[in-house]
Amino acid sequence: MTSDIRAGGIYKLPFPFTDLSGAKARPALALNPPDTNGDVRFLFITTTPVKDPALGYALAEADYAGAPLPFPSFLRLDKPFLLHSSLAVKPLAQLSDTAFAAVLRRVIAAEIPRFAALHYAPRPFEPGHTAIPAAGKVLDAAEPQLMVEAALDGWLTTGRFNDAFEDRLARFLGVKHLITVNSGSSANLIAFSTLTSPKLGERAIRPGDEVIGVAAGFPTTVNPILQFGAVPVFVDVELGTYNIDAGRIEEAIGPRTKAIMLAHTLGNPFNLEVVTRLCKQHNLWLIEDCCDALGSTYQGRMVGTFGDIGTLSFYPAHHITMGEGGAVFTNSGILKPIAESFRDWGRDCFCAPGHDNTCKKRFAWQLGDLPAGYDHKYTYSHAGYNLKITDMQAACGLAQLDKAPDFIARRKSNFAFLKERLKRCEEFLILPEATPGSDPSWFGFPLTLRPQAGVSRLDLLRRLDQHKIGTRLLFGGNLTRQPYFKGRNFRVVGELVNTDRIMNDTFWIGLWPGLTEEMIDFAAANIEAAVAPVL
Amino acid sequence: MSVTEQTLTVGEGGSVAFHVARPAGARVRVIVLEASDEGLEEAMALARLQEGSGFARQVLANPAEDVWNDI
Repeated sequence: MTSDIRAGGIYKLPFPFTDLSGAKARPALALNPPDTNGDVRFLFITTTPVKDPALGYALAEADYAGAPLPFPSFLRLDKPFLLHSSLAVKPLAQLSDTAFAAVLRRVIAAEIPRFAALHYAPRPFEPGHTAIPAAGKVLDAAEPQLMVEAALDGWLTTGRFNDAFEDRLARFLGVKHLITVNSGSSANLIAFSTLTSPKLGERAIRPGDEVIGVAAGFPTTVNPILQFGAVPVFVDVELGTYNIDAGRIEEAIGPRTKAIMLAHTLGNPFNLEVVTRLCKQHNLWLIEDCCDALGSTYQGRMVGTFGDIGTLSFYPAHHITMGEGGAVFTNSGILKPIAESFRDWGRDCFCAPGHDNTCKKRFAWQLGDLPAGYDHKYTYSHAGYNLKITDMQAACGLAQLDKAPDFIARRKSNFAFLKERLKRCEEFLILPEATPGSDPSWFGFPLTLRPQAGVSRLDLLRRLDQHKIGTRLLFGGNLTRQPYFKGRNFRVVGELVNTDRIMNDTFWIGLWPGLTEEMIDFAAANIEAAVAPVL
Repeated sequence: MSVTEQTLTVGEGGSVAFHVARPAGARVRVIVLEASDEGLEEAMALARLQEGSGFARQVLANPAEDVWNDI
């Protein structure tokens, strides 16, 4: 029956395969019709269950297109045999297209752990030769498993994996609403844009209004303010915590102040007690940029849940990754649909991709100066963007989310180890300090050189680079001194003394969960040797 | 006895001749298949190799799987 074999068909094959006496037989699923050589890849079926569910597929009655096999049937996914089609004695059953597709998905997935064990395995550490990056991602088979699954769905845009990711991350953070976006920077853009919506009436931020922040940080915490035409007002930061000097915020508040927008620097929460009190007192919005702070808590509560909107980043350097990605979250049922609108082209409609008429009155709205009944799907209430993620990204994030508690714990233990290790250098270095009342999930380990350190920052970073120890500056240092800030409209409260100090003397090294204590110790030893050679 | 496989050319009147290393009177089973090309021989050789795999010998050869023999 050489030419009759169909993919998804189950056939009776002689066993042993070359014993053509017909004494014994076994059933096998054909994965393909005969190729040009007449060969077919078969998966054998046994009555014996497969212990590892990743390697077996239990056939149910619903999996068949027609009569099922008469005995309990378990496909052996990881044992394909290449046999000539002429060996097949007769057809026994046929799987439905749906079931056969499910089997093929499992066959594809069964190879991934072998690849992952090879490709993502940690390499032995050779001091001075092995790179110690300041940030990185930790992957195993789980991420490609789910990403391949999402790719095979063929849905591509935000879909079932995104729904699951948004739901699980919201529960992890303890917030009511969370939407994904394509980066942490986009998350900040959406968070800020949300607060400019005319739907917020008098509280909406308008061009010329002021937003309090810091200049010692990442540019895209500040850029949405500039891009909208609002005015950033910079307050100096503290050394050690690298967060806003909470005692100086009040003097920054003026008649046009509408919001405070701050990052939890390198995972270290800013003083939320003072900031939230001031926001309440002066009716200010609060955006918490938590891009570097997933898992950090303040007074036992996740950061990002104190203000009106929180943001996250899933770039590979961050606590969890999906390559590119971010999230915006809030407990406000008013802000959530506005954020979603800005993310999804600015549309008024809130249907998920691929769905229509969720509101049940798609052709019954009258908005703006549009004619009555104008399709809600093409009605725009904001000047929005398209910043959605793909379902493959969400799938990666979902796998990472399973590991988040462990990643966070390892970041904390790496921080504790390094801080203890560098304690005797305190005369030469300002070591990082957690904000009182907080438990940071540190992104990096910031260090500021004291004047008595026997080395300049530039020489120290060059030395560390020679030893393959990755370093980063505290992002933009003092953003007001960046080239792109020339001619911008901003205001500074007092002087940015510590911000300038950070620009000149601060750097950070990695704490990410891919680093071992041996690596961190090597990095610490090199820092110690440079700043305090006599110790 | 071990399984013997030979590829032969059919002679006049459809006859073939081959030697069987068994005593006279011994009963043997002869199965005739068309040897259409060399590929089939290779395929049988490949099948023979695979029936020696651990999975074939330990799992497929399990007597519990003999329920499939008569379907």
